[in-house]
Amino acid sequence: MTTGTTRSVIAHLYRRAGFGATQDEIDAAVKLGFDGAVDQLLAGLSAKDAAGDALPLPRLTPLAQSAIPGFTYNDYEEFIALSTWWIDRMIVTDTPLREKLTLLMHEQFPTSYAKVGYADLMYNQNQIFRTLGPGPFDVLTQAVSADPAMLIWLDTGTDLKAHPNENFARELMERFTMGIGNYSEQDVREAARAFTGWSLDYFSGEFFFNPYDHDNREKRYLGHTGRFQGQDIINIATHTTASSRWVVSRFWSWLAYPVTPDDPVVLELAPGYKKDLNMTNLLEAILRHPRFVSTQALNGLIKQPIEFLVGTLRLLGLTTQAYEQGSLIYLLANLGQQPFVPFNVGGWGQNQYWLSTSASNSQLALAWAVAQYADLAEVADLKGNPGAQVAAVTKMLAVEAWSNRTYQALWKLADKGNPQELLVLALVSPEYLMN
Amino acid sequence: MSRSFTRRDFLSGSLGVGAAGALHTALGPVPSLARSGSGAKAPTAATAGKGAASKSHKSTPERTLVLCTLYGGNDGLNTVVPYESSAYRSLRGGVAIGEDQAQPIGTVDNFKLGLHPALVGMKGLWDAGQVAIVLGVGYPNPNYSHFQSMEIMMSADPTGDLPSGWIGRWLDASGASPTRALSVGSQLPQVFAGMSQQGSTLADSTNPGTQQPDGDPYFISSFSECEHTYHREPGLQAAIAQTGTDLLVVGAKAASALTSQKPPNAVSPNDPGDIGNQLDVVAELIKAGLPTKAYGVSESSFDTHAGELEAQAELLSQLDAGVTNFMGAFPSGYRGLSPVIVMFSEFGRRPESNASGGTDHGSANIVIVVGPSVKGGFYGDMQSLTRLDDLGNFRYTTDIRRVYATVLAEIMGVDPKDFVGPFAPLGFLG
Repeated sequence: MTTGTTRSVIAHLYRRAGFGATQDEIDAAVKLGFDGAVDQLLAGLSAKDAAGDALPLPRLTPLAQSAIPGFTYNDYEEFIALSTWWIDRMIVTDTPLREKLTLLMHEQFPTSYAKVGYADLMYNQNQIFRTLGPGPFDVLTQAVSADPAMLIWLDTGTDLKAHPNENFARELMERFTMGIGNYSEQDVREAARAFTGWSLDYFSGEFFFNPYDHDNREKRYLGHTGRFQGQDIINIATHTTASSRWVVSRFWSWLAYPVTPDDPVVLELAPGYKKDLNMTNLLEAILRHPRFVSTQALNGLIKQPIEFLVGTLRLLGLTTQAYEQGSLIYLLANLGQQPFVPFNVGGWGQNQYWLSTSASNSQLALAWAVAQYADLAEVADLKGNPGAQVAAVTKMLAVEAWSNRTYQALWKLADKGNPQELLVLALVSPEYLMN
Repeated sequence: MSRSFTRRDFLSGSLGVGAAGALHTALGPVPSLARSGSGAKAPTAATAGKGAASKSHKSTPERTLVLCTLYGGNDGLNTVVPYESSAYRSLRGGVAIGEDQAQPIGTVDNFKLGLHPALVGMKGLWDAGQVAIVLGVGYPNPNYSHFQSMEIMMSADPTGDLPSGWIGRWLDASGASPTRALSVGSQLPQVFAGMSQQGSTLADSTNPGTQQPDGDPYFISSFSECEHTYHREPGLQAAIAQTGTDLLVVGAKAASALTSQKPPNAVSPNDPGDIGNQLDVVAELIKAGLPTKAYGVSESSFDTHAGELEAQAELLSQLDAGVTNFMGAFPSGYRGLSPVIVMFSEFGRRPESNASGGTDHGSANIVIVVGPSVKGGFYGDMQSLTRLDDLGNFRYTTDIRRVYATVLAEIMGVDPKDFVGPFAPLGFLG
């Protein structure tokens, strides 16, 4: 089932379980072997990220200092600074799997600054993903659910006993924990009753539970009966068989190739995950699974725009600091994937979702922007030798092999064009856009 | 130009649908509540046409569809309001449109109906007989998920299993060309995806430079060479290449049609592609005579679980301005061009409001159709406000596939049953 050389599967591992590796990093990892490289990535889930922690965090105004209840704060500069901080953290991190997991948890619990309105709250949620992401999924879900960003995003902070709104209760089951088809409309309503009394204190910026707004009566939920509170609802949902399949299918889809919750590989991995809901163990099971290095997996995913940007800047030895503040975030927005601004609570899709003519054009615009600060002296020095120039760019981007079609196009452009054009064409080639 | 895309991706990944949560709590300016004169005359309620199109599948090349998706579930009950109904007031309590705020447009099944006060321009178009309102629109076994309900609405398949869109299937049948259907925005909605063909997308800008790939001619020819799929190229990689090839075609066509020298629209997280800007792009392309039969535009953030009155007024105000401005570019008979805007959502909202000043996910909704060749009036039947289903939701009266059948017959000029099944068109396009 395994195809390709050790080199190519290790490069694949780093693209999926991180944001890609440079040629030198791949050389080093080849000495460890595939299993050793997986060990190293997994160790990062509980290790200190010295490089990431060293990045200066932008000044973010806490909710309690800025809040007027009912109004969003909307400090756009803070928001852009936070967005570039996260992109840079993904680039410089010493623990790439943990940063990848943080991004994937953002996709599992899609929450948008466009409604939350406070950059500081988006940062707090991001830290929950980073610190609790590798642990048990139920603990993470409890923390994210009671965190102010989520309370604002899905209106939980406005729930009243009289007639609760169902926004959070529904998306908790449909998107965050179980997947559609595994609960009834009655379950949504019962769960919504359990979340009444959850509230956000705009003056302290903290979650608080108001017992006077809480519906303390009995609820019948997913076959259980009791005077459930919100925490009970989350606990029950995350421990269902449906949830184990949903969570496993999501992470398998992001790391290997898209699957549905009834796919055989999901049914194989879900029981192990269900024992303790531990995400580190699940990630290990996925990365060590033979199908993770199958042809289907190697050809299974297109780079998401954030993966493209982070991976490319990493390979070029750059961070967003080289660019005009906010310019790269603007270009990501044009591609439909702005960090902290998922399109909706469904998050972003995969593969075909990223393919459209306008996105192809925006991809090219992003490649031009990124290339303007790339150090191409080495390529320029090889002028007059198109083959060597293409080889230099190929090494720079750690590409294993080009199709004959792409190689021909690159060679001819190297012959007539300039190094920057050569880099841009390589960046938008179908081979490079695969993940 | 045959493709090997796997359409399963459209289902396994959540396509660009729904907007749970993107409701902005920032207070915008309150839309002007200019009310129409009390005695505005309403066009006679038209009855649902039966089999109108089966006798003539005439091609009407001057008509163009502009499909406007309202993501998140627009509250149809507060858009076309039964403002005198006591059932309405008791269901909606504090989330009701005031009796003196609704703009009266007529009576259907003993319900006096009025447009939301923000729809000032559309009230004028209604008075001019250019607005059709289809009532009680839905499908069997309503689904309350944003994502699955939108898949059902876009695929026209109540099981939600068909991965193609109803327009995508028409593209499959009508021949290869990446400019037959164009959607504004970065992601292609499922409705424009067929099994072998698909629509293309454009940037949200009337500046021609934004639609075309940037680079010197030699670079562009290299790009073109790099985007030619080769024999046995892996499926996804081939799909990337095909999209690049399509970009060269679509970008050139769009750029030659657009004339604005305005800089591209600035993107901010609180302004994700204004509906007015999108309609500006479409208006210019239609006027330039592109061979495009279906355009797509969208507005998000209709998921009003809390603070609905304020949020929906702001959203409808933007929609009204965009639609009115767009229609102003096509006075009746303008060079024989007749765009038809069709506005729909994944679902309507729960009849009874919640305690957060909002409404939860519901079922039957309205569809609004606007255009110079539209036969204004009401279509379908008003849903009952008292005989709700077991979950307290509306029972639909009019299948959404009748709306699509009307569009397919009267705009695309094809037999609708091949694309959405045997559903009788409504009469809103004559």
